[in-house]
Amino acid sequence: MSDLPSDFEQQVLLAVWRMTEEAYGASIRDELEARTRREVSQGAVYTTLMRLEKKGMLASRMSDPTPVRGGKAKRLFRITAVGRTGVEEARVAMDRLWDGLPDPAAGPHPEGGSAG
Amino acid sequence: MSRPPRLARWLLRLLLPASVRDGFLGDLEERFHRTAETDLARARRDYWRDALSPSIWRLRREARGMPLPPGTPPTTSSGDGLVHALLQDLRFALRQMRSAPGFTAVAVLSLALGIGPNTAIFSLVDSLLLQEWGVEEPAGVMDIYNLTDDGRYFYSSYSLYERILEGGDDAFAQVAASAQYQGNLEDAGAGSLFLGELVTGNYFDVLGVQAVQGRTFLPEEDATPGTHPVVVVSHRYWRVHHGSDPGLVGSEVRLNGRPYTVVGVAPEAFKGRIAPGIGTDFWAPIRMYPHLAPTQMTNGNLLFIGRLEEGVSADQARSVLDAVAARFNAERPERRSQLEFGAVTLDEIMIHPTFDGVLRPILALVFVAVGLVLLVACVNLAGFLLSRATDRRREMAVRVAMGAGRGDIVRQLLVESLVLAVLGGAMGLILGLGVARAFGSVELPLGLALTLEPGLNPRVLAFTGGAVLLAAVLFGLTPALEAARSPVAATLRDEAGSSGGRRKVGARGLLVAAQMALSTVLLVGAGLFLRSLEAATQVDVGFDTGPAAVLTVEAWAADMSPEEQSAFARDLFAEVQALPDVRMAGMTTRLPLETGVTNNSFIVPGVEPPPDQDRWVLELAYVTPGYFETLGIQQVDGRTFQETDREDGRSVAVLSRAAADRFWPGESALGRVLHRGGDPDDELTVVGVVDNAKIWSLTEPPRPYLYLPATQGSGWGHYHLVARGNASPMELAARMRDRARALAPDVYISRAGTMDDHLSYIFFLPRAAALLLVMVGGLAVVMACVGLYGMVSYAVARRTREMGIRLALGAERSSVVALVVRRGLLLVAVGGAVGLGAALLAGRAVEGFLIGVGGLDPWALAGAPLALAVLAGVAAWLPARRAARVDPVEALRSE
Repeated sequence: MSDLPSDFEQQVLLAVWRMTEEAYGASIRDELEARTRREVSQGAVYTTLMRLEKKGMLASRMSDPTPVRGGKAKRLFRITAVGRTGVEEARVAMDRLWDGLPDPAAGPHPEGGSAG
Repeated sequence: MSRPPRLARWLLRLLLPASVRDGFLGDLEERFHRTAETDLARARRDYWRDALSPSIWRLRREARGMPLPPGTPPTTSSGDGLVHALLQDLRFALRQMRSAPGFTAVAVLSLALGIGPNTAIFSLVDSLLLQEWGVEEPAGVMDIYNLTDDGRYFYSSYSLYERILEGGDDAFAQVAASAQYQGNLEDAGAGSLFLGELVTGNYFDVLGVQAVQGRTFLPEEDATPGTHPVVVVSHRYWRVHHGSDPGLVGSEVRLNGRPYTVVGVAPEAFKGRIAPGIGTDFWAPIRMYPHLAPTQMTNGNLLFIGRLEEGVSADQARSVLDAVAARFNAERPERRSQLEFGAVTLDEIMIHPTFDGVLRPILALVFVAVGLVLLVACVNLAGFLLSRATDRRREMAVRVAMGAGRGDIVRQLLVESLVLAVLGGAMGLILGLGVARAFGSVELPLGLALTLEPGLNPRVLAFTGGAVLLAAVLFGLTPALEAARSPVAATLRDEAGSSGGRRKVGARGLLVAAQMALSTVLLVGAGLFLRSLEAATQVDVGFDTGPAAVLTVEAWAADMSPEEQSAFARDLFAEVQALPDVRMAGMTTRLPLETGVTNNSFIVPGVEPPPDQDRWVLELAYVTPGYFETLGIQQVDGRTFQETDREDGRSVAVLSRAAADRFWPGESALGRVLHRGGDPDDELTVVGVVDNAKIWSLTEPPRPYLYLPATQGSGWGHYHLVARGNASPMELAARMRDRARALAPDVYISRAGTMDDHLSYIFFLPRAAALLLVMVGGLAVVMACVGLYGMVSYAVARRTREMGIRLALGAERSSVVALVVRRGLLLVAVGGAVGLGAALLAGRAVEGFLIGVGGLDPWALAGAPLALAVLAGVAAWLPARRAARVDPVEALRSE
């Protein structure tokens, strides 16, 4: 239980998984920003990528250099089996907590609450 | 195509560990280009935000030590090269320093000791002289002085101000006048003297200074005498004494015993016109003179400050002033001295054109002295680094053999010395600021609080930075070039053999000799100033400097009429004379060797005035009966003053011997007369002659001086009571103060102390100079001896094998010791001789600062090299003892 990935780690893991073969710093950041609708800093993304790599949940390699990046190579990430298991376990734990509560994706719930 | 901000990119490259650097920078660059297509400014902003985000530091911690990802190209791309190499050099340098902590400590410490005094002196000078005046466009502000025939810049009187107002229209938009003033400002009862200025109403407008609270003066406050008791106070006064309370404006303070309304607070940057570093604490309208300074309008103590008209140059303004002076002179054909104005713009001066001339050589002297210490420190380090470079020749040779360029070697060694210099500089900065603060808080013997606030500011940092860079280059370059030049193959083959090393020791020997020379110069200087101080205390000042109590009364700063002041002075003197332990007492308006001057002009019937002058100007003091006896000023002829010299009787005077000799050489002065102010009806008859006393300085020639009886007039605003008796001077002074307080609780007493306190003012400069040079010279000698010690120990270590052979072949141990010591002492002798030669020249240069000794004083010239020889002998002998203990067998086996 103790090494379940944190929320942000889960987000990063999911983004990498979703973009298999095309996951590198910039694209992961775009993906996260597009799907969570909030800005993240490059440093935060990389810090998490490095931590996940150390935990063995991600692996990386350098691609060939490209000119648009100032001649720099991309560092491509892929999710490992450990990473997949981790993010799945986190999902299951979360689902158990949600069990019996109204589904937020199904729209506003009957009691209303504060108007957005 | 636009590129990401270079500085931000450089910063990231510096911070990011290699494992993430390339990928991270590439990603950021990609994003930058995408955003830049639509919005370049935003792209740059975003890049900066990412570069400065705190998450970079977390990433740095997270990724440090991680391996490079697979597929990383073997070399980093160009452009990274130099930064990368420098970082590597830096890391290597730090590792080197950790591996030799002793060397590092000595190197850093001696550099700190070299840089510290420089920083201290600089920050003091900076806080006193190099501050901004805090006025608008200083080049357009012109100070107008009265230029004397011998080229000194004097203040002027109000009548000349009116002249300039009349005739200066073409050159000046406005002209203000100000007079330095000390006033007793009271805060919740406790009064104390503060520096202030009495100013015309347009003073702040001329300088372009606006109040930060309230306002400056209004025209009507400058219109009628004595009707507007208002003050503007300084920012510092507001902050220190009122905690920056905005309620101060509109409230009342007591100035010289009367309520004044505070109308404004001056901005922090504006500290008045005395000196940029010496703050004026209040400004009052000059029209308040009836209360503050009744004789102000006839006093010649005004500085005129003009604001140049738009488009008028300083030279044009000067010719307008010349025309005003010419008209003035034409109206007074009978005057022998001609009026001339001397005008300087504010950006041309440090404090005052005359003082600047005195200050510059003193400053130069001080900077040369501390500069020499820095030089000694640098030379020392060059020596250390040189010997280390010799030790590391093999390391360097290996690096060259493995493909390092000479440039790489030089760069690496320079980085190493730069790191040492930065550490030493940082330590020196802390040390120096500490010393400067300590000096800045020294109470100057001026009787009022001056505030110097030496601190960290960009100028001090730039100065230290400059000193550090200079040091790094000076002491890093020689060893670096030496190392780069040494032949690789020979070094490797010889295993750092002794033949190549000897040349380095030679270079090092030269450095040690140079240090000895510099130290000799400084030690001779210290000796000269010590002798000068000794001589200063021996100078015959013409009065008894033995134990005496001195009470200085500032009755002018209380709300008293002239009659009340006189009555108070009379009563106080009577009470003091009646005190049980007082043997004798006297009162005077001016003590010998005091600052401040009172003079008057005289016509001496039968004696021609000096060339170009209409009258004699004599400095004078009013004294009571008993004054000469109390001071111990010897009576030479006639009598001194008596109670019978009454207001309604004949006006009498006592002359100094120099005055009598000047007017009537070889004849008796008794019964001769002087006409005060040239007025034949105001006749003074000479009744006595007393011996000369030093009036201004210890070095002055006997000075004509005039004493007048206190019983025949004069104001009693500022005066001294001197008493001698059976009790200690401190105790007597305290009792005198108690009597004064009992008679008039409001009167400000600026000193209740001793004759020694009074004289400390005159000895302050010689003491300070001697102390400074002793400290600086001592520092230089210690560092030079450390250098010598290092060189000799190094020679001993290098030649252990040789000594072993010598000993094995039957050499005496003493001759082996002599072998290493001889060389060291030879260097000391050569350096000392060169230094002595330089000291002869330097002694001549500082002669003007010395009292009672010449620049070629034999004691100083002989004592300094002797002291150096003894210290250097010890420094060389200590390591040499080790040479004598060499075990031949061990020594031969060691290689």
